[in-house]
Amino acid sequence: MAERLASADAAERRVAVLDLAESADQGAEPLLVGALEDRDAGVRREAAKALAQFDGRPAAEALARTLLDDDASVADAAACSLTEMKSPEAAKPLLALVAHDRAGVRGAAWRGLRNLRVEASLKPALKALADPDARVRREAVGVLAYLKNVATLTALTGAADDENFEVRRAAISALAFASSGQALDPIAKGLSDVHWQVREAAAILAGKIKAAGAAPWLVGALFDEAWQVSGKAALALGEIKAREAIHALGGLLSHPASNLRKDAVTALGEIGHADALPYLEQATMDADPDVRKIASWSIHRILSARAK
Amino acid sequence: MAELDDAADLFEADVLVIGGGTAGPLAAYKAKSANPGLKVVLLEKANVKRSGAIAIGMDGLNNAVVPGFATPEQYVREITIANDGIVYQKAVLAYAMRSFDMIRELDDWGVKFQKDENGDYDVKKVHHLGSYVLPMPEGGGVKKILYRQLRKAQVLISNRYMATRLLKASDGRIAGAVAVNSRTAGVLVIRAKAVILATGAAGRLGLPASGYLWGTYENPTNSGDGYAMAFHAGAELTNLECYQINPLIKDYNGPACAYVGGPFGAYTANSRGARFIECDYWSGQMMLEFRKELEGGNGPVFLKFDHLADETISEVEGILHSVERPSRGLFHEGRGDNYRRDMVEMHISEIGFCSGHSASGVWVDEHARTTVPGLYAAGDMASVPHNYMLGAFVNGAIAGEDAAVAAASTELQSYDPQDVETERARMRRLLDNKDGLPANQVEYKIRRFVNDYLQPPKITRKYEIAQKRFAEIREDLQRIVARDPHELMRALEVHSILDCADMAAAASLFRTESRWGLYHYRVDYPEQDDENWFCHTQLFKDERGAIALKKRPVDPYVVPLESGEKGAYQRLRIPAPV
Amino acid sequence: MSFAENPSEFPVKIDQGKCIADKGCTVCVDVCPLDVLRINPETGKAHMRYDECWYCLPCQLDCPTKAVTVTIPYLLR
Ligand SMILES: Cc1cc2nc3c(=O)[nH]c(=O)nc-3n(C[C@H](O)[C@H](O)[C@H](O)COP(=O)(O)OP(=O)(O)OC[C@H]3O[C@@H](n4cnc5c(N)ncnc54)[C@H](O)[C@@H]3O)c2cc1C
Ligand code: SF4
Ligand code: SF4
Repeated sequence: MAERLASADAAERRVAVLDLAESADQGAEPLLVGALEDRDAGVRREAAKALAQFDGRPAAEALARTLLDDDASVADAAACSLTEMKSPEAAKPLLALVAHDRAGVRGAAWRGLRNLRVEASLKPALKALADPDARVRREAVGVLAYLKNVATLTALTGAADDENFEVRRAAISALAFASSGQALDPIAKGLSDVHWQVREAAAILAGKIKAAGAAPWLVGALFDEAWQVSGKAALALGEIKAREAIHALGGLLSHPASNLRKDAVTALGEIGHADALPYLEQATMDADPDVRKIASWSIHRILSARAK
Repeated sequence: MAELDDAADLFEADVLVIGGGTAGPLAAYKAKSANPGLKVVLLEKANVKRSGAIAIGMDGLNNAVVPGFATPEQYVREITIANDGIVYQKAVLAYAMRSFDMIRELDDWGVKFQKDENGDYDVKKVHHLGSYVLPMPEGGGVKKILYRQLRKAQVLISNRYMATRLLKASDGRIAGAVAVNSRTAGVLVIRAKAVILATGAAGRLGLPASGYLWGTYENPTNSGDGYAMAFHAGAELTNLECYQINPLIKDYNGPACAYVGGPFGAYTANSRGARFIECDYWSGQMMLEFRKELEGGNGPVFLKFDHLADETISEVEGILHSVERPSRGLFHEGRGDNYRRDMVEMHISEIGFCSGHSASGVWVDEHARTTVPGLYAAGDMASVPHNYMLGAFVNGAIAGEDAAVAAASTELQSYDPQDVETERARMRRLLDNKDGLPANQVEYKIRRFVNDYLQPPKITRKYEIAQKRFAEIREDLQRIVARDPHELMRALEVHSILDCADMAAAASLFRTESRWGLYHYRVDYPEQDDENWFCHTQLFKDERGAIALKKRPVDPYVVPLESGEKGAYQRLRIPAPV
Repeated sequence: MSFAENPSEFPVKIDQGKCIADKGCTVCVDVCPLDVLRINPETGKAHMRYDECWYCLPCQLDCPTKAVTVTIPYLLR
């Protein structure tokens, strides 16, 4: 094998790397690490891909070095393999790169760190929320989100105000480990964001953490210009069983988007209050079978709960 | 001209797993890890690295039972109702109990499931009652990951071997199998103490509307060999009349993936762009509704994305064009179709056997045991309903563990050498034929007759004609010419296909009622008849070697349905307002 | 046996310039579930030997030199 790896023919070296990758043998690891230094980019790329199967320090160190490879496709392969690492030992070489000059390298290092969930990431990730590059800030949000540490709530709430919409969306989604009171502010701001996907994320968050306090804004969001946002707001109102939303939800039952009528009728069923019955009756005549189905199922549930 | 390798190789193993797709790798891995001292062999017609239904990954779990989203009992109830009550609940429960642990184990191995921003499983609600869909937008690497685990566990892998018949001892216990190499035509006899069948669905039964033999919904290597082998070994097969029929992208014949598009807001619509399906699951009921719409004034049927936001469509495309059936993107591109503008035309698939969406297959209990001692079955060919990928993994694991225990306490059984001789003669004849029929023509003819006569709605007279035609073609099987080992494999597959066609016809004629929506819609018996037919139908080989059938009562439920529960579910299907 | 030679448009094309089968690569041949690819002994390169393709793409995705192009078989296109 060593001989094949030293062949003068790049294609032969590449085939040797493929065979090594296949062997699933521990002895292959050092050879693959060596192949990361090959003069042919194709060979390096194949080796970087193959190292994904070796979880731990040596592979992680070698791959982290490869993030600096001049060939973008080799660096990408290394970044991709690094996201496969599970062992916390892989964290050290990655943490060494989170302040690298190149934004691509910083981002890739953070992406690799997310899954590892090591406490040592926490402080530098908080700092990285101020990185000049939006992609890096987005990855840092991901790392913090996985750590689910309440100490990061303020910082994540701050990131929900980021100038970049992907960062805002990620930060809002990340707050699902907060208590319903803690996330009210970002929910309110998120629901009035200029970008519909951020507003949608805020509505989803409200439903997930059952933020009862957000009901008034959610009712407002029922009339969002994007039906996707209204739908998620409706579902959230169902989750928090907001009785005050029944009439507004009932109003949505004549909306042209059947997906939105479906969300509205689902919410009415979840709220489960008799006040919704007239609307639900109306919905049993809807043109859309899903809407009809959920309506009559909800009526059945409300009536049998009342009978008990 | 290829020669049959006359010095048949003989190999001895403790556990033999046949089929290295989805259930097979898990079976082999679990048997080996349960008892590393065992010799475990995994035999695969293709190459385990990229074989089976999940060769190129999967885009989601359809039936994940994740705590907080659904309970095993709730799952068992829903599956019971979705199958009109005819299920062996213990096996469904055994799956549901292990579903979540399996997800976590796969996750540890590196299989990627969709997580929310905080790293928790992002389970989606697609059905009305429970939430069971766990997307896998990056699920492309599943097979490579399994392969790595198998290598690490030192399972012996034999690629490019097609198993053709099982071997039994005189007392009826399993003794091993005969296989042939598709590159060399070398015959291999493997003796084993336990054998696990995991050869997938019977996907080459009906002919796709395109007429292309290989344009099937299922991976075409799944030609029904497992069903044929189990039958010839004397195992019982159950409910085979409950066919698999799926709603697919027309011509491309791959899943349109309502399960992927659904959580994003896409849906199946008629030509007016309106939703029409009343039923939730991919079930016979749904297929009946689908067919009505397809053929009615509002037809044909489409998958509708064009009402979604551009960003959403890009995200869906990213998934649909990279995992599961990634050539879907190429197909749309070739026709100039764009989800943003065009609805995707859909159609009904050819028929097949598969327990994925119906409760049919080789009968197994909650330990994945068939009715032949020492023989197991798992995955799409085994009778646990609505299993899909995760079910194949879990039941493969159950089979592997049970087989490991059985193998540790049994001896290798002796088999009748004459059985091997008969099998070799069957192959030799095909290779020796100098003149005769090409396999693809015989296959085409069988599958065209399957479409002409067996495709539901089922009509008794048509079925009788089909049986006559199949009997005629059986004579032709001997005349197939195999010029090389590859053609020998294809010819042997045609034998399995004909066996499956015969079983499909016989099972359908036996059940004189209609049930499971389109799957078993008999025009001459249009009503469901619970009094006489609330039972499984078991198909087996009688003493004369012919197909026989009998009823098997449904076992008492372990998860009883609450009174009125079935009615409540029915209430979900409300007729359209007049 | 007498057999007809019918023309066929193979759905799988292999770029002979890129293929490194002559250096020992057999990746596409190994991964094809339908076992329809072979190394041509005359050219030392991979080629499609049997027209039986599930357009599933492992051959194309796994080829280390991107030499394989799969098209949808004409009958379904
Ligand atoms: C296109 C498609 C999309 C799907 N989408 C989803 C989804 O999104 N989610 C989900 O959960 N499920 C999905 N499924 C279902 C799921 O993939 C299957 O239920 C599951 O993979 C079946 O596993 P199996 O082991 O039974 O069969 P397979 O994985 O198909 O394996 C059978 C293996 O047996 C081998 N074999 C066949 N005959 C022989 C023989 N004679 N000798 C030796 N080997 C043999 C075959 O080569 C194959 O490798 C989908 C299926 C298909 C076809
Ligand atoms: S995988 Fe690519 S390089 Fe290798 S043999 Fe096939 S076509 Fe040639
Ligand atoms: S697309 Fe699939 S079936 Fe066709 S040649 Fe490639 S691997 Fe084989």
